[in-house]
Amino acid sequence: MGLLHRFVARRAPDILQTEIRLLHRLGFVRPPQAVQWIATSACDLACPHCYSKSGRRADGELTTDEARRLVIDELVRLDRPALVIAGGEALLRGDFAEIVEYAHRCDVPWALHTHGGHVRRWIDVFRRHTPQMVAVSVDGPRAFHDEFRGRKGCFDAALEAIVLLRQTGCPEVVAGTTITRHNADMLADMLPTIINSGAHSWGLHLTTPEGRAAGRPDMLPTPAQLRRAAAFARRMRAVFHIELDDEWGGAGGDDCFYRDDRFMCGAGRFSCVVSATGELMPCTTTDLAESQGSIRRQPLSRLWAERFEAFRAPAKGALEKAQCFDCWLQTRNGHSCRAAAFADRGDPFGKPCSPQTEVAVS
Amino acid sequence: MKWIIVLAMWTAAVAGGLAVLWRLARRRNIALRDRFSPKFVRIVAVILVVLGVGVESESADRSPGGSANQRSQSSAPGRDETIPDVLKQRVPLQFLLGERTGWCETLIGLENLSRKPDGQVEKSLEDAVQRLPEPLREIAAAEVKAVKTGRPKPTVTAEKIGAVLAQLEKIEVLFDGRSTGYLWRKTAQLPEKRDDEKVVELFTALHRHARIFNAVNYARAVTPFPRPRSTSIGPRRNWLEEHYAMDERMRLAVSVFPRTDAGTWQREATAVFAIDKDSAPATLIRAGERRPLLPAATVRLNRLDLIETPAGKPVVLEHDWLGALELPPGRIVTVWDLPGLLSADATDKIARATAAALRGDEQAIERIEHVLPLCHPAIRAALSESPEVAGAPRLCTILATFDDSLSGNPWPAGNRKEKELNPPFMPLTGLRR
Repeated sequence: MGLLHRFVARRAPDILQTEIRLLHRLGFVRPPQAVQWIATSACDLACPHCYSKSGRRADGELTTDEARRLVIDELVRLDRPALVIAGGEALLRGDFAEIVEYAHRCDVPWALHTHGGHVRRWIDVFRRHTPQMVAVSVDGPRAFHDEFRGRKGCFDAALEAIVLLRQTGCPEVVAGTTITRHNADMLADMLPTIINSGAHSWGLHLTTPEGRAAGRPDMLPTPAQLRRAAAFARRMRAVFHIELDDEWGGAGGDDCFYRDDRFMCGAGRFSCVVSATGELMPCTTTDLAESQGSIRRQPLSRLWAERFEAFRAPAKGALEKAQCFDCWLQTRNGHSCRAAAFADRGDPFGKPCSPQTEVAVS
Repeated sequence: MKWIIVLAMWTAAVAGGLAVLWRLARRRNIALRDRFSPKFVRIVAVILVVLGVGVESESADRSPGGSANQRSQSSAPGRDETIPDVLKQRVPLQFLLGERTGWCETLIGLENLSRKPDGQVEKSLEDAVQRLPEPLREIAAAEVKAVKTGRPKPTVTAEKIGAVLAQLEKIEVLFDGRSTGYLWRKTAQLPEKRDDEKVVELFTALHRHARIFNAVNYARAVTPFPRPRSTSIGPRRNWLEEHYAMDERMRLAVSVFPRTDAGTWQREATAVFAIDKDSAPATLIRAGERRPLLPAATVRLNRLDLIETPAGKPVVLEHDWLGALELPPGRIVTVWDLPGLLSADATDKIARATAAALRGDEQAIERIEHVLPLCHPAIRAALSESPEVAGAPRLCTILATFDDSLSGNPWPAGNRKEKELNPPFMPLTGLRR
């Protein structure tokens, strides 16, 4: 036992690589670890950085029955990965409690992305069926957050949601900040608020030039801002649990200083996204060209098994590629998410973005 | 009876083989389900790796700092240096359980106290200080007292800081980024009359501490936790994780340590100087190594570097933007001494650039980022005077990268409107372990 553990720990990358190859050759696919479901496109805020132009409910959103049959029942068939409910604003779905109740009955763990404004309304649901994780958006200090999201009181609602969720016993409440050009330099100002909010961790995301943000190039942070934000996060990780999320890509040998687990894009490999209308996507993108099929036409479990070929094909040095080149925008554009998103302004981590790239070199 | 079992096993094996062939011929993927199938594939992968099949050669040097080997040799001094023995034995537990020391709460508490003095914050901070490891407690308590009373932070000798660091490493076996940053910041308050040799020893120790932390942190990140199997008395998960994984981690830390550099201490918040051609030669002390700085040479000075000037003749550093910087003869100059040695013209330039940066001038921001060791006092002063200006948050973020701290307390208490703690003080949970 002990020897095996030692061996596994020491040779973990080799074992993982061999396993990926073996699975691929035999036509086996591991079940996903998490499936995100965009429960609705409806949202009562109009954030300019929204990747999905959320606002109105989309035509043909999954009904309650479809959510049960096509999503949750299928997750049971896939060994019950976590169901991550997102939006829009997922808490605007009137059947939210029903769906969570059903997931709970099926023993499917769930998590939620929310702006926090409606947590109080559903607090009994959170108490009865505590989610594994909830991410609450916090975009900046109070004045900035409220102005950015277009509604006064949003900031207080988000912080209140964090407190309420903590009180329900939710094991991981994450404050999530999408970095834009306007808030990138506010991180030092925000940190004490985030820490004192009671959040377990702080996730830093990058604006994706899609949806509403696609028409706002002025929202994209500059390379200098990204470099500063990364440098700041790296230092503050010594004090608080801060994570640079996948949109940032990998930082090669320095990755361990920016996140707890080494960067590896899970798109199509250990996670996927079901859009509001039932399209199966590799990750949170609204680009229908990335759709792997509709779960209304084919079961989610079969789509998961048979699609995502481009994401799963092992190649020589796959693990190293996974560190940096392997993410959804890479699949589409031949660059990492970050480099593609900020192509005209250069890569904040320097070019070429390879596993050996020096990170945040001044 | 035996032949029946043999026959059954052969039948099962043939059926299994046929199933695999059928699956391959069908070319249709299926998702592995059930509890054991993924584990079975993992076991096969382990066996293949044991047999040496299918393993790709590792081409990348994954030591922290990425391409440390491709960087200058100076980035990893002491390549033949070995990691201290104590690390091989006890650091795993301390590394995991570092939080019990109250270290993070102390740092956050100091920040909170400077923003909004409050009874609850004070009490929580005092509790945290009490939980600090013995060597740290005394100097942290003195700092808390100074912040509470609004007095300047007390001076601490290099000998004292060095002793604290040594105790942390030897007695508490605590290697972390917080200690490096906190104790380095303490060197800003070294007394005027100081023992130069002790200063050199201290900066060498801090550099080494930063490298060890980086190596340990890297090892932590790249060694996955093995999942121990449950036993009849329960999984004993934590014990096994700590025991086995940390054992592996420490072994990896030891192996990458010689190639590990000091990370951001070495590469960020630096300033580049040329030695004036008429200057006396100086000596750069980096990680305890002395290197001559001859006239016309260029040096990228980082926060843990020291410059030793010869007696008799001053050393003159030339900066592209700020001009000449005259270092006094016969002393050891730390990065904290540099701003005080600027000419009036340079000080004026920095003040103007800082004011422009506060207004959001990108060029000015870039400029001051490249001379942080020289302009950090100007940034603190500017933030103190104009905390509400639009560019202030950006300068705070930049200052944090120099201080390796939350913000270096740039705001006088109660001076900023947005600085209230919101919501009412919660038990802190996301602090680092």
